[in-house]
Amino acid sequence: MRISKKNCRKLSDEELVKKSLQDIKYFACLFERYEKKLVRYILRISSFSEEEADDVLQEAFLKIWKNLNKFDSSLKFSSWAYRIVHNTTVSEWRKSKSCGKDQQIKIDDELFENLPSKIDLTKEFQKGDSKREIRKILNNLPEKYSEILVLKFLEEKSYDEISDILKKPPGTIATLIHRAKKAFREEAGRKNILFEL
Amino acid sequence: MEKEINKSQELLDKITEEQIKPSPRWHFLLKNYIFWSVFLLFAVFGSIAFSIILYAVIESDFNLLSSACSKIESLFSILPLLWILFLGIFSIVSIFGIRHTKTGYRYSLLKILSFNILLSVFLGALFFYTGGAEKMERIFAKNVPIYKSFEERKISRWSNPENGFLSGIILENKNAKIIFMEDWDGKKWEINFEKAVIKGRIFLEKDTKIKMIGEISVDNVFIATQIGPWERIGKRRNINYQE
Repeated sequence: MRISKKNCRKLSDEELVKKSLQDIKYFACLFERYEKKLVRYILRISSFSEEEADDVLQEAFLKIWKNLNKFDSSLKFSSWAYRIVHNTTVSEWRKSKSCGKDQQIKIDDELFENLPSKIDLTKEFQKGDSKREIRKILNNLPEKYSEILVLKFLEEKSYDEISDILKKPPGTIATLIHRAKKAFREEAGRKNILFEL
Repeated sequence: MEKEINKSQELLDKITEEQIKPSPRWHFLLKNYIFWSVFLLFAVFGSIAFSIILYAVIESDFNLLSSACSKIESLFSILPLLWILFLGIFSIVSIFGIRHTKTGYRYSLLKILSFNILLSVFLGALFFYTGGAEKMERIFAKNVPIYKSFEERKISRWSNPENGFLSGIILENKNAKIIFMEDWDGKKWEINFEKAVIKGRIFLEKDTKIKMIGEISVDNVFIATQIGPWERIGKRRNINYQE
């Protein structure tokens, strides 16, 4: 017997974690709550197909389940889940790279159609002509810069959340974002494209 | 929606079929406590190393030595490089410990390093002033055969009359110009200190331990240009109290 959507919605993430430890059915609520967001995130930081992204997500949720007692309520559950999904994706992506897949992380075309618009970078992403260019630029940036730009501007995470996801001090995150923006602008400049960032 | 439910059900089925259980909470707590303990333990070790460095520097004869050799040469001769190396290693392990605690990643390396240094300085100074550094250094020298204690190194540095460094215990103060002294090897010396500069508070009387810079004039006669007490003032007072 599943927990109804209505009952799931009534509970916070932290409550769901506690209840999941007593009754596994509640764990499905957590999965369903984050599934779409996290699949989208996996696709953003890798070039896995949707099916592969689903497998990565399932692998990540198994890790979340195994480590559920480790969850510390001083953290946001979403940050913790993003961290595990991020690490699983990077690790699976590296494994697949070593098996002969493309050497660069690609950002899915379709994904850009659905990007939220909030900041200038995102607006640029939504301009039809820019999408391909931005994708090329992100593909050419080092992984540490592209992943932080994705978290900041596409996932719209705060500095503290990014700090918790990537396990780096908030000061380092600020520096990385600054450098990533600079690297993005320089790469755009090389391609004769001007972006507001 | 249907797809979503299927996927979540698939996940629950997999967990149930493979009987995957969440690891117990104590497992994570223990891991966290171990890293905190590593941090604290090695911070304390670092403080001990720092206190011994402090002891070596304060016990050194930098003022006297630097008047005979260059300042850099004197500095290198007094720096306890082994303990500086220990301090470095202990600090690195301590930083490793705190970085691996649950929330350790939130602190920048600079913050952790500054905190570690402050802790080492504070605890190290406390350890030094309670006499712990000296005791620890002696225990170390006694139990590690190849290790030469600061006292031994000091004796060997100041038992080199051919190069102008001599030390020992006053046997007799003959007059305002001459004292008789026995060095650490039991050799007796006549010391002419008529033109010597006295460094530090010292009474040139029987049984006082001294060290000096100068040159040998003839066999067993040493012309001192500078004389100082063998031990620092605070330490001599301590010894007198104990006696």
